Amino acid sequence: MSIILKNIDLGYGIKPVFKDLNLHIPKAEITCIMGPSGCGKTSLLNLINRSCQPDQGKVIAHHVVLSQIFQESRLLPWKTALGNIKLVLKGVYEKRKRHEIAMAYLEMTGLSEFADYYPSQLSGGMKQRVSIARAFSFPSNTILMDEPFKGLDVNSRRKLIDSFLSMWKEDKRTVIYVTHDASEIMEDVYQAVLLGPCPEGINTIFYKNEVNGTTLQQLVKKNLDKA
Amino acid sequence: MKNFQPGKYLYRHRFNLAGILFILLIWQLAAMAMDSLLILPSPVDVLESGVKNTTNPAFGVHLATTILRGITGFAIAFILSLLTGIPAGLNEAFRQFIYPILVTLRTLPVISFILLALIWFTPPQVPVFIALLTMFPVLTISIIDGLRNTDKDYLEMGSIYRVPNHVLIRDIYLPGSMPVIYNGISNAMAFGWRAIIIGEVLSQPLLGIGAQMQRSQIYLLVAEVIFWSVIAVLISAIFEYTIRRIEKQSIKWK
Repeated sequence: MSIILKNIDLGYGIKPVFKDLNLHIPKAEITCIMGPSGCGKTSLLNLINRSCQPDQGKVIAHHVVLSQIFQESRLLPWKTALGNIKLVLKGVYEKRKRHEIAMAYLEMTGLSEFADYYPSQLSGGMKQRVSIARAFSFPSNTILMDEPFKGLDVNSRRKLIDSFLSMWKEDKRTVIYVTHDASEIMEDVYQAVLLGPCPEGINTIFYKNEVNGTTLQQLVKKNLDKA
Repeated sequence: MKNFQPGKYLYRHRFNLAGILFILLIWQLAAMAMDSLLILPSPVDVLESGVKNTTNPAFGVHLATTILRGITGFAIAFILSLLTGIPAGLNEAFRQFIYPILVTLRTLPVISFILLALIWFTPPQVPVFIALLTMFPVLTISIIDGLRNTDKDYLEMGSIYRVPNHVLIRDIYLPGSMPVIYNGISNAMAFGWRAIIIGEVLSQPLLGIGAQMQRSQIYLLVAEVIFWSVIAVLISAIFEYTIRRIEKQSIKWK
């Protein structure tokens, strides 16, 4: 269930985004995608979730079932926190099981009291918690994250990352985590992929096990400063 | 309604009331200038005829018949518009196929329908058919527009989570389209009541507001014609108010 991007060209001719991009995303590990804005971080996710097709090359993702945590939470405003989670389970479980699972995940994110709240009644951080609960409640094996903590204050960001990590440690899915902020790179990240400006593609990949003494986070920070 | 305070209510709608009083004033002045019951009776004359009419047990029957026709026509039109509007809103080819039909129905003068309906149907059926035909294109076009303007981000979310199609329609497309559809319902109803009454006037069934108007006109009872017109306006206004109330209830998530 790993994902392989092979010889990808994207936006060729009009506005090149990638040229001959190759990337291996290992199963059940966290891969961080980093780089300046406009370097194609979101395009990379769109290739994987099939909302865009490469001009050349292919995305190999056999038996990959996706969940996604979006930047702007993307909760349906006309559904409650609970209703939003139950919605994505409708094609998977029968009614009673949907309710049980949705409640269990709301509990895990500490939101069980807010089950019947509409998104407009929740704070930005709470909405992202619901979004995380939705992603884990869906029986996927891969979670895409598109700068989900952008725009939140440092405190709630820290809390959300912790709660995300504790859920992930219990239930290790492949995670592709797009961010522009090196401070969000946690210890559990397996590899950090630095994208250069378009259409350069991948600049460097740092791996967890390469690191001796310095953390992956420090390594990436050093490199971003250089660039 | 709890805590209903008439004073507050009147104050909130003071400009509406001023507008109504203004119409009544102009009407009264015009009636005084004409000075003829046969040409333009005054508001007081109409009120008198109204009291006479509303105390007659037949009044309720005429009123109920017209309202029932309106609701029947609306119900059929709404079901048909869901059946055509949903596929047309989701499928561009079908939308292009159906559009000329909808535009034709929307632009054809009501009188063309009526002349044909008079040949095809019995008098009590004509108004229902007319209402249905006037409301159908308005409702369908609003459903199509609503569905086509559904937020693409929510649809993308739905497709990533592999939400089944019927759930996608029921839980993402339709709720997002409701504001546009409510406007469509409100417009359709406004056209619909007019069409029903025209239908009743021309097909002359035994019962109904339009039939009563027609009879009053034959006997030159102008005050009665105006009285029934006021009733028609009230029906339309009450339905509009009800629709907006239901709309407010249904978007409590905002």
